[in-house]
Amino acid sequence: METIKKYPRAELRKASEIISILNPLVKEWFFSRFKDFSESQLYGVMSVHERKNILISAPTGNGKTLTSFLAILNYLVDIAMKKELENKVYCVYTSPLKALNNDIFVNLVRPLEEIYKIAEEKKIELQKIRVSLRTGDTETKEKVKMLKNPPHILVTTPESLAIVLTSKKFIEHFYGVEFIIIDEIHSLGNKRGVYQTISLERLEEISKISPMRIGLSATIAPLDEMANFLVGIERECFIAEVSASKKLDIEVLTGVRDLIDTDGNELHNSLYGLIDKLIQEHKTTIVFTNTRAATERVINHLKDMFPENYIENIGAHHSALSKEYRFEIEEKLRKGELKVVVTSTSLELGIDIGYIDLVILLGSPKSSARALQRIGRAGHKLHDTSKGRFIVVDRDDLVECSILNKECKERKIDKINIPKNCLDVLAQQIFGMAIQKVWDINEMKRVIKKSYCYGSLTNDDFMSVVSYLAGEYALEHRNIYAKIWYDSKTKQIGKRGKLARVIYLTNIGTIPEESFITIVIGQGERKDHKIGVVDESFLEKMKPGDVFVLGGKKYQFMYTKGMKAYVKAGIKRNPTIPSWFSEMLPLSFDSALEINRFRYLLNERFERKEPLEKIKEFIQEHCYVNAAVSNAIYNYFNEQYKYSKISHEKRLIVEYYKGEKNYIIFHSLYGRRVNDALSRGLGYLMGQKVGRDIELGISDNGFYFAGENLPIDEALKLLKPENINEILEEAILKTEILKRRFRHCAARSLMILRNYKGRSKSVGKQQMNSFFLLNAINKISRDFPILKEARREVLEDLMDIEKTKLVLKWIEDGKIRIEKVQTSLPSPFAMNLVLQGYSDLLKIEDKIEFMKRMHKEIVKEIKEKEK
Amino acid sequence: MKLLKNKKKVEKNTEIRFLQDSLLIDNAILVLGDLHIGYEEYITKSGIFPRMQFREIIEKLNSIFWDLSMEGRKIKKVIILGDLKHEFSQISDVEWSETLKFLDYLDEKIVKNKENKKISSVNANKSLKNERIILIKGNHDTILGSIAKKRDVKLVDYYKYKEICFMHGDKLQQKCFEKSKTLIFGHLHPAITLFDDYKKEKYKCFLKGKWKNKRVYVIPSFSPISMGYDLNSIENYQKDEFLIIKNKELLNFEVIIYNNKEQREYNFGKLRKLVY
Repeated sequence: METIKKYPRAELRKASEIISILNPLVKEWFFSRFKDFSESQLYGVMSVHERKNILISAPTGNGKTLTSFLAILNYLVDIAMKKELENKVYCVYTSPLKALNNDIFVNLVRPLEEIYKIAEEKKIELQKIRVSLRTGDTETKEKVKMLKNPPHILVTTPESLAIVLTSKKFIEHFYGVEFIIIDEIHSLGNKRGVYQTISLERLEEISKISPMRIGLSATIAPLDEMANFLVGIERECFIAEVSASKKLDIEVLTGVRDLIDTDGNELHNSLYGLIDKLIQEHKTTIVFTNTRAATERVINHLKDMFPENYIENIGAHHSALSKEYRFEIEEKLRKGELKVVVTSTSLELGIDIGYIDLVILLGSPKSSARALQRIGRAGHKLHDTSKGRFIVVDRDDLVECSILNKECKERKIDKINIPKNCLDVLAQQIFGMAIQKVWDINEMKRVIKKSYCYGSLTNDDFMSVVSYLAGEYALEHRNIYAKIWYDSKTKQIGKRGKLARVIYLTNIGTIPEESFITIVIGQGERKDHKIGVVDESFLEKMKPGDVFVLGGKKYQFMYTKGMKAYVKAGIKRNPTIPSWFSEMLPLSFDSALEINRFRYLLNERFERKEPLEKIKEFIQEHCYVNAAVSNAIYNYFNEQYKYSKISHEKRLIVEYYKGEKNYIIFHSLYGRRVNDALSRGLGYLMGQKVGRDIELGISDNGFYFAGENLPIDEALKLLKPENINEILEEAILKTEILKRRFRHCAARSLMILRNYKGRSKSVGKQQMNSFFLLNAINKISRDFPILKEARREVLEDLMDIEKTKLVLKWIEDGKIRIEKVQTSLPSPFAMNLVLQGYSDLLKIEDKIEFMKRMHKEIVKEIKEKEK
Repeated sequence: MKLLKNKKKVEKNTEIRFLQDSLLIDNAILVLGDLHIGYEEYITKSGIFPRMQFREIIEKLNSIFWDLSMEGRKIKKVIILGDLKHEFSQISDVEWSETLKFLDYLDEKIVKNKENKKISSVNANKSLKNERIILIKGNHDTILGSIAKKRDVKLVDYYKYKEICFMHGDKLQQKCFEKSKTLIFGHLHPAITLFDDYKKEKYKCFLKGKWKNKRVYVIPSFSPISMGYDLNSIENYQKDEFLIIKNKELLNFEVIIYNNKEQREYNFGKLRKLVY
C-alpha cells in the first residue's frame, strides 16, 4: 500500500496577533458581532494572511467558513480603502452544495454590508467589493454581467467552475487569483472531488500568481491524505485539527428489552413509541434512516400511530424529492416550523437548517465519521451539546451501534477512500482543456498529474483516453464523433467541431443520472394506482413472481412495460428480493474491525467462564452503553457461544448448514465492500469448478453460498492476495453491477450524450441507451479505457479490493484461522444473513446451456401432461 | 427439378428452414428482417461510441454464407422484410453510406452465386438482375426510394414467391394474402425471456403458427443491437397491437429459439405457456 505524505500541523495563534493584522474597519465589525475568535479562527486566519495552504478540520458550527473569509475580506478591504481593487477575481470559493445562498449571505454578504455601514458612518470611502454566485441556476444575464465586471469573490460549484474554465473571456479575469477555498471537502472523496482536483490545477495554470488553497472539512480521517487531496502532489500544506468544542451526549436505545423474543408487531409498536416519545420531549428532531424508502415508511407509521402529534409539522428530506420541496423543508426548519424531519442521508451536509436539539439515528449509520457528522447537526452553535440517540432495529444493529457509539465517544474516525486515476473523469477534463485552448500534450499531462488523484496516472492510460476522445476506437467512420484531435507529430491536442463547447456545457458532471421505474398496481380495484418509484437496476434483478417491499408493503412483480412495472398488491409471502439493496450504505472496514475486536474480547470472557454480571459490566464499560443494551448484547453473544462458535478478529467461522439447499455461511464481519469481493472471488472459483450458477447472499456481517455442489475448500486454497484482482475481473464480467457502473462511466466520458443540441434525452430513450450499453459491454475490447474504468470503480470504489487483499493476507499468514462448524439450524449470528434472502446469483452457466436446460424441462412438462 | 405441376406439390416442395435470425427458403432465398441500419447512430447521437452494428451485421451474414457454402448451397435471392434502416424522417450520412454498402455486399454475394449458376443450373432463373434483392417497405422505410433507385433494387409493399407471401407485418396486403398459403412477417422483433427460480435470460425467437388458415412465420430482428420485443408480457399489452395478428392470437404460436452453435432449433411450444 502507498504511504501517505505527512504534513505539518498548524499552530494555535494568539488572538492579539490576529487583531494586529486586522484592518480597523474589519476589526470593529468583527467585535461588534463576536466576543472572541473561535478555535478554527485562531488556527486559520493567520495562515490565510500569510498565504500558507491550510486544511481546517472542525466539527460543524465552528465558524470555519468565516475563518477562511476573514483574512481575505481583511485583505480586500485594505485594498478597497486604497482604491486599488483590480478588475479580476481574487478569490474562488467552491462548495458542493447547491443551496449556497443562505450560507454565503451569512458568512460573506452580510459581513460585507456591515463593514460598509461602519465605513459609511466613519465617512471612509471604500471601493465596492463584488461577490457573485455562479451555479447551474444562474441566469445568462448575470453571467454576461460577470464577464464585464468580474466578481472579486466568485462563489461557485465544482461543475460551474469547470464551465467557466472553458470560457475564453471569463478566464481572462483569472490572471491573478490569490485564494481558492474548497468548502465541505470531506464530502468530495468521490468522482466529483476527483474532477475538481484537475479543475484546480487548470486554474493554477491560468493564474500568473499561484493561489493559496484553503480546505474546509468536517471531522474526517486521514487528514494528511485530505491535505494531499487539497493541494496536489507538489505543494506544502498545514493542517489544523480543531478539537470538538461541542460536547457529545450520545446513547444507544432499544425499543424493547429483548430484540429476539418479541414478536414483530410489538417490536414495531415499541420502536415507534420510543421515537415518538423522544420527538415529543424535544423541540426539533432530525431522524436519519439511511434509505429513501425507510424515510417514507417512518413518516407514514408516525402519522398512523400518533395522528394527533403529526400533521403539518413533519417532513421528509431525501434526494428523490424535488429541489423545491427540499428547499421548502429547509426553510421551514430554519423558521422552526417543523417538529421533526425524517431524512435518508441528504441532511448530513452542512446546509444551514437552524436549531436542532436532537438527532435520532434509526439503524446504524455504518461509520463513526458519518455518525458524528449526523449527530453534529444537533446544537449547531459553538458551545452547545450535540445530542444523538442510536435506536437499534435488530440484534446485529445493536452490536454495530454500540461499537459506533464507542468510536464516537473515543473520537475514532474511520478513513475515507478517495478514488484515483478515474479515466472517465479524465476524459471529461481532457475534453474541457482542449476546448480552452490548443495544448502541447506533455504540458497537458503535466498539469493533470499535479492532482493528487492522478499523480500515478500511467502514460498508457492517459494516451488511451486521448485516442478514445480522438475517435480512434470508433472503428468505421471518419471520426465524425471525435471530440478532440491529436497530432502525433506536433504533439498538439485541441477540440474538434463547432459544437464542442455546447456539448461540454450540457453534458458535464460526474453524478450519475439514474432512471427510475414507476411501480403501478396491475390488477384489482386499485388498478393503475401508482405506488412509488424504484431504481432501474432494482428491476433488472426481478423475475415475475418475485416479492419485494416498497413503502413498508409487499408487492409481487408481474411485468414491465416501458418505464412502468406492474405488480400485485396485498401479498403475504416473504420477500424474495432484498429491499433497496443498491442503496444500502456499507459498514466501514475500521468499524468492522472494531466489532471483531469486541467479539474477541467477549469470547475470551465466555471461555474463561467469567460470571455473567462481570461480562455485562465489561460490555457496559467497553461500549459506553446502559444496562439494558448490555444485557441484550450479552444474550445475543451467549446464544451464539452456546449454540456454536463466535467468529472474531483471530478466527473466521465458516458454518455449514443444510436446509432446503446446502448453505455455507462465512461469519466474515468485514463490511459489505470486502465481503462482496471475497464472496465473488470464492464463488467464481467454485462456479468454474461445477459449471452451475451459485446463489449468493452478502451483508456487512458475512456472506453465504447456496447450491448443490460447493467445493469451497478448493476455492479457499486458490484465492490469494496476488490473484484476486485477476479473478474478480472475470467474476464481475456478467454482473448487473458492472453494467450499471459502465453506464455511469459512459455518460461521464461522453460516450453517450445526455443532452444534444438542446434536447434532453427522454427517459424512454435513456432506457434504450442503457439497454444498448449493456449489449455493447461484451463486445467492446477489454482494454477500452471506459470499460477499464467501470471495472476499477466496481473493484475499488464499490468493493474494497485493497482491504480484501489484506484479509486474505491475514488468512494466509495465520493471523486469522478458518474454523468450520456444522449446524442443524442457522446459528444466531447467521440468522439475519440467511433471512435476508439471496442478493445475487453468480452467473457461471452459459446462456445457451440455460436455454437447453429450460427446453428440457418444458419438453418434460409437455410429455407428462400428454400422459 | 422440374417445373412444378400443381399447387399442393408446390406447398410440399417449399422448404423453409431456420438459420440464425433468418429464414432460408428452398435453399436459395434468404429472408432477413428489421435490420434498422442507423439505429446505433440514432441512439448514441453524437457521443463517442465504438460503432459495431454494421460490422456485426456483415460478420453475421458472412457466417451464414459460409455455412451455406459448406453445404454447397447458393443464395439466389435475398428478401428483406422491411425496416432496413432506422430513421423515419431523414437519412443520415451514416445510414446512407451503410445502406448502400450493405446492398453492395449482398449483391456481391448473390452475383457470385449467379455466375456459378450459369454453369450448373438447368432451371434458368427468370429473375431479372434487379430482383436479386427484394426490399419490402417497412414502417421505417418511408424514404428508402432514392437508395433503392441508386442501386437498382426492387422496392415493394409485399413479395410473393410460390405460395408464400412476404410482408413487413404492419399492414395487411390483401391481394397477396388471398393468394397465398404461407405468410412471413417481420416487424415484431420477437424475443422471449426464459426464467427459473433464480435467473432470467432473454433470447431472440421465431414464431410459427396458424392464422386465418394460413401458415405464419414471424422472424426476429436481424440487428445485432436490438434484443427484441419481450413477448412474455404480451397478454398485458392489449392496447398496443404491433402486428396485424392480434396479441391474443399470437399466444397460440409456437416459440422457436435457434441455437447457432449446434445449428439447430429448439421448439418451446406455445407462447401461451411461456407468458408471465
